[in-house]
Amino acid sequence: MSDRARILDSIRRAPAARLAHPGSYESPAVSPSWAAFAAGLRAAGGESHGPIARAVLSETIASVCRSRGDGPVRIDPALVSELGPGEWVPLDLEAAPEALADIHVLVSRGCVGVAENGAVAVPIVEPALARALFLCQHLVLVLEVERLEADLHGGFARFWSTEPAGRTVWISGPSKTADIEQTLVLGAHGPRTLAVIGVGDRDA
Amino acid sequence: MSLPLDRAARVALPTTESVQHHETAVADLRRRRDDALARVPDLQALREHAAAIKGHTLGDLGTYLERFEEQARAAGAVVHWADDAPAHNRIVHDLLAERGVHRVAKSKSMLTEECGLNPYLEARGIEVVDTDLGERIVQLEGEAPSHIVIPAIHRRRQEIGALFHRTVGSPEGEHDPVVLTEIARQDLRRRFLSAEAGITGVNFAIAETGSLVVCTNEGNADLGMHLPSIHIACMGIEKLLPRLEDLPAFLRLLARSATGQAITAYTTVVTGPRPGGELHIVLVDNGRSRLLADPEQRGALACIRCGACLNTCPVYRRTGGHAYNQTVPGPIGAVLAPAFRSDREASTLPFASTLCGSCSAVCPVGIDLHGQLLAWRARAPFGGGRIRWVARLGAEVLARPRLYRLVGGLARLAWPLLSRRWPGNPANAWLEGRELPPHPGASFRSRFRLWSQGSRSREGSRSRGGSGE
Repeated sequence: MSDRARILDSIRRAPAARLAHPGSYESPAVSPSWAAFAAGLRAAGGESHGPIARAVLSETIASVCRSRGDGPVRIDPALVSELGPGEWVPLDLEAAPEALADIHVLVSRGCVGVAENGAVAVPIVEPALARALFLCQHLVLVLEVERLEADLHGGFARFWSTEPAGRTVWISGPSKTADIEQTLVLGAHGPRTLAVIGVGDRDA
Repeated sequence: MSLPLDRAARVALPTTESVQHHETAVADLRRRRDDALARVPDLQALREHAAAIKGHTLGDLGTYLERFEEQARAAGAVVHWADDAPAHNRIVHDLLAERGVHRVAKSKSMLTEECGLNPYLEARGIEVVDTDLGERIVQLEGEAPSHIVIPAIHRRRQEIGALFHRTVGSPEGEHDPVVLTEIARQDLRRRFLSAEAGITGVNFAIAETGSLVVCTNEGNADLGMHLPSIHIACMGIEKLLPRLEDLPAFLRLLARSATGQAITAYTTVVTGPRPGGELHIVLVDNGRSRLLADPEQRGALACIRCGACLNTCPVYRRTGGHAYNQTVPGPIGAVLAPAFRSDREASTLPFASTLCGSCSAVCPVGIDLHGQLLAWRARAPFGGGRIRWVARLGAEVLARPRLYRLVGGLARLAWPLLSRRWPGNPANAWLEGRELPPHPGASFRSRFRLWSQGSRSREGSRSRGGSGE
């Protein structure tokens, strides 16, 4: 008998305790606000900018990147076309991991934000983008304010109503650790900072 | 042979300072958990919802495992089944050996600790680097994690500084956590880049999509998953949830219960391998189906490994995790130990509890931990010996009033010997650090008799004097 058959047989011989699935969770009705999102992100060690008008997105990104100091800045190719004229260098999707490790600031797009915890969903279709998200020193995410949900239930429902299961990372703040005497240190392995720029006109 | 918990605790936390350090650190986690959950308006509904999903999933686990396997395969993953730890280790080794892998980046996984994967691979010439900072600290120290969320919680910064000086060449005397973390970051980054395979644990798995969910704060699991072309994910069969829609309830509870964060920095959902890569999922039983068949104990399979029960447990706080000699320490470890191990010490772990119930009160998925500990006690094999004999003797004495009075009199005579002259009493470890209260002088019965005589005479004088109304 294979291990698979043995395990399934053993499970099926266990006394059954069939309980009904509780169904969908009913969250308390709360409207998502950028202010709540900013507070959640701040608690997670990140910083928020905006909400800003689309017309000033390029200069806001440039300003945030400058504040991170000198070093190579790379833009998610899916975002470059939205930024208009500028010296934007798109992320090389064929780059070797060693080259991606030299990225100082990576700018990418968030798909859905969650106000209660400051998390932003980033689909990671391209392997190079997935690597760069964790190898860069500083990460900047652009999020449409309209794509904000109050809690994670709403965030999941919104995100997976349009995206395939695929690969996705929900990012809340920079990489961090408190493994040494519970002292919080930002930048354990991944980005040392995370900035989320809100675009749109939802009130704070 | 392992030591009983009370003696192992003296090795795990040998000084008063180490106990105080541990207790302070663990109590801080509990406080953060309380603060975070106090801000969740729908907390109780959320906990009940999560518990109901786990109860439902465990009740139909076979169906959900098959559905998960089918969906994961459809997404391009290869699914392996391991009945026990040796089978798990063999599968992982074979996958690595067949691909000529010699360097592995591994993220935190209690399952691989439980299976002893690291020593198994290292004995076969494969270098395994634990990449979670806490796990890396205990790996360099050559010891096991003492906490399931903060593996090196028992270590002070000075000890970690000295360890890094010995092993990774940090400056002597450096023990600033920020500097030590930066040194570890630089050291591990080059190891990530040269790793030929990544091994991760799994926090949750989704049956409807065949997805894996991995939660970390450091991002180390993501580097292990996304850099090398081979990703091996090792998971216990109890990690399943039916639908993606079920996941948020658990994510909202997990980090808040563990560290007081609203969510971990990275929550990664992986469905199938990345383009050009391989994803292998090893489903491990290793005693879990046996636990499922035990109606009194199956509830422990709902555990999401947040560590809240450790952080609140008065025994764990003072003994440290190593005293349990068990991958998962604390109350949940004391519940799992007799199910997964057959040695005598495992059967004694359920006695390492005050049964105060705090563990059950903080459990985000409503596991009746102290109830399960009590149930294990009733089954303890050594209970058939000394403990049962003492209980029978006690019942005989209590059933005979004259014998009871005689034994009570003898006990009062022996009291001074018990309280003062028998330090380190091997018959009762409780007395090793304590003294019995002062001798009461007389038995309860004689004091009650005196009290009721006095009461009667006071009643008599009051009725003779009248009420005055």
